[in-house]
Amino acid sequence: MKAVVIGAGRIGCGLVGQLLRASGWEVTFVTRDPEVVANLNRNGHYHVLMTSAKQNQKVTVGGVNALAINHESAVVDAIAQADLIATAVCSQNLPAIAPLIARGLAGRTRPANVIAFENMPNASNCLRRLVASMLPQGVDVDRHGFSGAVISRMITRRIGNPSDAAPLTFIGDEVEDFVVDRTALRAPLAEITGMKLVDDYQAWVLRKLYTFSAGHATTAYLGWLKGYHYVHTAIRDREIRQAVLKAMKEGQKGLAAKFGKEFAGDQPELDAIVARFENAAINDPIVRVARDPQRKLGADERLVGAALLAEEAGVIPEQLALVTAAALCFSSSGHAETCTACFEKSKAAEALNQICGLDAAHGFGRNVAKSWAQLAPSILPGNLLLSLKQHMWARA
Amino acid sequence: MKIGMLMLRHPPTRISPIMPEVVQLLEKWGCEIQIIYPEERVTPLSHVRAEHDLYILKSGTEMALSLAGALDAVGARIINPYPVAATMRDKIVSMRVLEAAGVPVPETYITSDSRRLASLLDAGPLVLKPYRGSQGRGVHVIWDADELDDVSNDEGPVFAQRYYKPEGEDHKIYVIGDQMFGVKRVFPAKTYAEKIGQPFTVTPEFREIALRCGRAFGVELFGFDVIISNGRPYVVDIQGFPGFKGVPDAALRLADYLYAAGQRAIMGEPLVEAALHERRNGAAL
Amino acid sequence: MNFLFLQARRTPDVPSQIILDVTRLLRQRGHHVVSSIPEEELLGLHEAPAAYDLYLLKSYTELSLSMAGALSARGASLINPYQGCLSARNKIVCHQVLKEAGVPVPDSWITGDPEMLKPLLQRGPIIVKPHMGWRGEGIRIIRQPAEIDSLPRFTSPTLVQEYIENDGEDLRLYVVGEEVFGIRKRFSSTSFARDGEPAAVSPELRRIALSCGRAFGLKLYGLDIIEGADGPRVVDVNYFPGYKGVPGAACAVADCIENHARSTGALLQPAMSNLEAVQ
Repeated sequence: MKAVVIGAGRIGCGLVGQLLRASGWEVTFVTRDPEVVANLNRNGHYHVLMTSAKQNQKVTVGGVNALAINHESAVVDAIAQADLIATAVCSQNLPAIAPLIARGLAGRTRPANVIAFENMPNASNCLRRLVASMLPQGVDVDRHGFSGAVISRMITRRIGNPSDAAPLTFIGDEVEDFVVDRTALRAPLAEITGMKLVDDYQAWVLRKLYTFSAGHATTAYLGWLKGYHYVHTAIRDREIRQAVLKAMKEGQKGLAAKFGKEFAGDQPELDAIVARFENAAINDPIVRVARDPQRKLGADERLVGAALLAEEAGVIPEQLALVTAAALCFSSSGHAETCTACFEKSKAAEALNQICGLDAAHGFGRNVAKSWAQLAPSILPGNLLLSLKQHMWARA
Repeated sequence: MKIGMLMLRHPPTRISPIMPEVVQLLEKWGCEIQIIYPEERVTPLSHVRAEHDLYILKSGTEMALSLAGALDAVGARIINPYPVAATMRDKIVSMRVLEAAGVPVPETYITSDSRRLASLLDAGPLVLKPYRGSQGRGVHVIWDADELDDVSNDEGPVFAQRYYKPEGEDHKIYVIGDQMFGVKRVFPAKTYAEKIGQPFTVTPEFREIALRCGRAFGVELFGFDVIISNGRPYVVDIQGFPGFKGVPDAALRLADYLYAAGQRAIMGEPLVEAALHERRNGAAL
Repeated sequence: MNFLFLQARRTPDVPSQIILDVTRLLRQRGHHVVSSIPEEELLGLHEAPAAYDLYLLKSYTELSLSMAGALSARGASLINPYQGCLSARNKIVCHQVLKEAGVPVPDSWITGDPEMLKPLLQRGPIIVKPHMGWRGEGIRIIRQPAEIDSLPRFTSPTLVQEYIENDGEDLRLYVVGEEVFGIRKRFSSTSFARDGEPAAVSPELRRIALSCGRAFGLKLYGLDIIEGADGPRVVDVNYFPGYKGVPGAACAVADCIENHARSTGALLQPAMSNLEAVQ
């Protein structure tokens, strides 16, 4: 079985490539970084360091090669031959790779499966649309499968310089499982270690988003307010830990009402998530988890989406309201990790509507607006929150 | 990450809550910590190497400082860095450094014979302190010249500051990296609760003073005492790597800072993040 | 230009000959030279600093060293520079800096507990030196474990070194800038009072001497060398020594001071200082 993995970064190498090789797939990486291409081809392998509280395990992923993305004919060729095309390029780069995928698929008779390991929940639909628009007349995009993937592993960094002789190492935690939409596949897909095929893919997307991702975001945004540098530090702050569990609980309740209690999980699942946040070995800086807040504040995303689903279940998502407000503060603080321009704090209602799709006068939107109004005046250079409960700040 | 901590062994009666918890947290986060008690070993200087990624100079004894000096000479990364830690223990130099950095300090005098201070008492009381060492030991407030006779001149130079009677509680500002905390205490603080004190919100004026103190020495772990007299602030003392008593979540914050510093040490980056500037990337926090 | 010497009160209470000579030479050249003994003054640290072109730290006392630090913090120009003097003054730090600079030094240890020295005696006799002792202050040679028992408790960090037997002659190298002078003296209980004899300085010794200065950034300094079976070993470095017995020392030192002051862009206006005012 042949696989082309477009994107040789943390997800592409740190998860996808490893699991494919472990299952005996041939793997060719495609990337735009010529140094990475050279390093992978020169060494023929790289390392993945899987860490946990108990142990660290270093795995060598061998038998790989790489192509530069501008080496178009070779890339198109590889795609034409592949059984699986995996993408891990960040959703904003999908338009750049779609043409190559289209060309690769155009000439094929055998159906291929394209799995998008992207951070945007509907990335595979987006990719499918892009590819469809680029296929020649008469070629049906739906001959091929387009699925997303819900991944669990956190891969936080790459160590080693691609231009050095030594191979690269990717550091993450040990979790391997990922979920793929069985209904979206077109050809039978050979086994991949860690892969779980499901028929209710959307439910799985929301399950991760409204528990794990909501909790991760809570740790990051409240950790930022309190001035911590790392996820593993912030989660040890008693107040933050409580808040993370509470926010995830609110999300879980919404999921339970919609998909059933067994699917949504209970306290043990939440405790397991918190235990993963405690892992210092992945060394996850808060600024990394917090970045791109406007996307994460979207109406169907991990904070607002989770809160609205919780409301439907009759829960008042107070914790998620505070975290949403914190994320809005972060987003307007001029932090370089935000991609979009800052907006003035006085335009809160407008921003709430524009970014979150919320009405500042009603329901969850009103709660968020209230929390935001409380937090915003204290967002000053060098300030930090000393106590969530007492709402005490370090400086005036 | 390998961390060496230069510590002073405290008698069991003395509670030092923060460092053991800091060590525990760092160990949980995968750091290998070696606690070094410089007084309790023979250190072969020919074998002194920077074996650890980061050294933490918590003890302020002459022995610890000398060992830190030896480690510094072989290129070890130390927090707080050796020459600065030594300078901060010398009140003569540190007061001058602060004053040169625009920090308001009281009038300060040095003499080897305390009787020379007599004429200064006409303008008000003086507080006498040992010019090296800390922990508030050996501090006397002198109101009139007779009291000078009781002051021993055999223990080295006499360091005297104009005494300003504090209005209300003592205000202490602690700095950990880019974070600043205010703790106020009654003086004298006798019970443990009194020693912990209460957090207070740092005013823009105190914040500016703290920024100047940090930049003056190039340190990010320190504390200083501010006395307000006639509405004006005076920094009367500064300590490198204090106990941070009264700072909310002190052990966690300190461990967080030291872990990040250790990462910088491993990457060969400067240890001091950019003393008290806005956090990297220009965040408002 | 204006110069201020920071001096120590000496025993017996005669001024340092080198200071007298250098002062006279500088005054002859039209400069304004003042001396001060920090221990004998009331110094206001908060007051505006004096505008001396150059401060000369001749005193070894801790107070003077701190004063030098305070002056440095205020932007004053010092010969030798404060940080270098501070490092060289602490025998422990001094040793380590020299070692890192590739200067040959004896095997050394530091400890706060004399009991822990007993195993070291198996290698041979040792010499213990308090870390801030000046020159020979508090130095003891120990050959037998019993002598350790009779040692007073260490009140300060102690540098412990292998004691190198030599042929009973002290070798001192004195440096002024790039010039290196050697003085040999037959070692005895009264040798401190006598001048030694000028001695030839081999290229190796010269290289060692200049390395020491570079390691600390010193320009006026002396070093003690023990010439043992394994070659020369530096056992002490002192800033601004007395240059006793060195022909032409005063002139060389005065030249060095003048050149340094000129090259560091010193002020040309004479000014009163708070130190001078309270004298």
